[in-house]
Amino acid sequence: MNTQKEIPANSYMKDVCRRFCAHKPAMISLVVLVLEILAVILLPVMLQLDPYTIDYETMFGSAPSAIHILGTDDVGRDIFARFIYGGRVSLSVGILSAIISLAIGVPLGILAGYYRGICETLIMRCADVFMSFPAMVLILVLVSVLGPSVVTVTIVIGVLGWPKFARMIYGNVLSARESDYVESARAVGTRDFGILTKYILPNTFAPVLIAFTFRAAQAIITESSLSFLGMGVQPPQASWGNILYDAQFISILSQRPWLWIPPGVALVVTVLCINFLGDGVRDALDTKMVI
Amino acid sequence: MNRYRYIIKRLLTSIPTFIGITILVYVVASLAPSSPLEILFNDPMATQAEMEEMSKSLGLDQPVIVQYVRWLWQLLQGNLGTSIRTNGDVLSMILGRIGPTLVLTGVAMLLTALIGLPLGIMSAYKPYSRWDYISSAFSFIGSAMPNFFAALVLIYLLCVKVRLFPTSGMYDSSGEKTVLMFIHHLILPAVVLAIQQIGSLIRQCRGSMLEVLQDDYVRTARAKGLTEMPVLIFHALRNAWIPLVTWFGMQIPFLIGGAVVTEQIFGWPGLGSLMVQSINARDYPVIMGITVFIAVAVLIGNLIVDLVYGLLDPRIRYD
Repeated sequence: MNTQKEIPANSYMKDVCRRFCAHKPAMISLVVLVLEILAVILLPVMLQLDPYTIDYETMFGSAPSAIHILGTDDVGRDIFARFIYGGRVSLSVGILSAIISLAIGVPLGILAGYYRGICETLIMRCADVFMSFPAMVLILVLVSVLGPSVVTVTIVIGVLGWPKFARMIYGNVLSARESDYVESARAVGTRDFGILTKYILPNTFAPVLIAFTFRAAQAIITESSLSFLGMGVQPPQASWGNILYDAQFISILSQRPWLWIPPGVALVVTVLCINFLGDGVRDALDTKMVI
Repeated sequence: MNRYRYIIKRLLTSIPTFIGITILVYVVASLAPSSPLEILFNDPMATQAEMEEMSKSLGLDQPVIVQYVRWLWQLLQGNLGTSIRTNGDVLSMILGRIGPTLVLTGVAMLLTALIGLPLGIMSAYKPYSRWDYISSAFSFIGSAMPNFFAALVLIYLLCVKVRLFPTSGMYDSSGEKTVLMFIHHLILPAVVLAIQQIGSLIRQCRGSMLEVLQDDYVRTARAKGLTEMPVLIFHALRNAWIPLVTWFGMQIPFLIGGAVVTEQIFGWPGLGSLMVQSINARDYPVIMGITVFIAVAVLIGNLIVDLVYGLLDPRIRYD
């Protein structure tokens, strides 16, 4: 019982990895997401998929067949190819816009939390203002004003996602800056930049990572909702949301479920996996929790 | 600080937020092809000469700040402009559509509470039981489900395969308007809107109940011989309320955002579908009007939630 082992220096990261590997849903989700990303990158090349060309030899809006495994849409394009290319768009919009939110929110959160004063008031009041708009409404308006496209959708979703990160970082920095280790760093004459990068930022790594995963999941849902309304990614470019746009017509909804079920299920599975991944990371990084 | 001073302080702090909201909307509106003031005073029947005349009288040559203040002054007087598409007054268009949206989001919220709270409480009461796994699975899938996809699946199953519900509108085309018919049309959109919220509430409720159930007063309540029901509801839930009320407050924007999509799918004649129609028609006065209106509604909603805390938990100190 009392055989206390030597603790190696890198035990924390090892511990985190061990915890993460023990979290079954998170591991399965990680595998699924990796497969999904590989599929949207490699399948178009391997199978020579073409989401834009019209196949005049098959009937438009045809049922699944050997050549078109998910059939063709109303203009004769291969739905499977559009589904895979759509995945590319949906996943990259999700990840890129979460990166944008992070890149804006984290520095602002640090500014507000560390320097306080006028920075704090200004930044946190701005966050309040942004948070009082339903994200969906403001995004719809901005996208319609700027003109819908993959780029504007990514940027708008990304830019409007900053307050979540800023608030979280702000809270963390606020408590970290009063802590003993920051106090002692300051006492030995460490500059602000050193304190921030060496002592404060590493402490916010875990919550930022977790928030990042949930943000990406949310962004994927937002993009697909926008595209579903016809205000997001515009055809001929495909995204999971705009493939589902066609299913608004009751004839397609009822007679061609192979058109809308795959992208819908892919969306749910992706978001589900990202959420599990986030949970796994949270549990793994929570050192107080014993598995 | 006593409660009344807190309420006044809270009211005062929402003024800068309100001004912030109007600035943000003004900036967004400036990105549109015509300036916010022009949007406000747009008159579809005006000739080119009249338009030029108007733009001069509106002071569009003045600094942006002056233009903003004029625009804000009009807003405060309730002048949200005239619709380009229908030529109607924006404020009365909004007021005409607010009822259906309130009913839809209200019923969705009610459904969320009625389904999410019991499931969450049960999960926390017997963690890692079969019930817990079922409701956790539901909560995970529910919160990962974009509500337009939930809508498509439900329409496919319940309107196309089994003809249980109508697919759109508030009443059918017979011209009759009965309460029963209204409810029949309301069920699907409300359920769709509630699915994501229920998923999220189950997790929230499970978490805060789990924490509370380990507290001493719960043990005391059991020790004095209370049966489980009153322990759960009057002792545990009463204390788990606070994070849940915060949660409900934070859901208001999500609920309205979700209503935009849901109303559009089900042809529900509320603010959300008016928003989508206006966006498709590039009807900026209506778009801007709805945006300001909704943001202010959310602001007031948060204000109410904050004030309700004090009633729920007398221990809260206002400082």
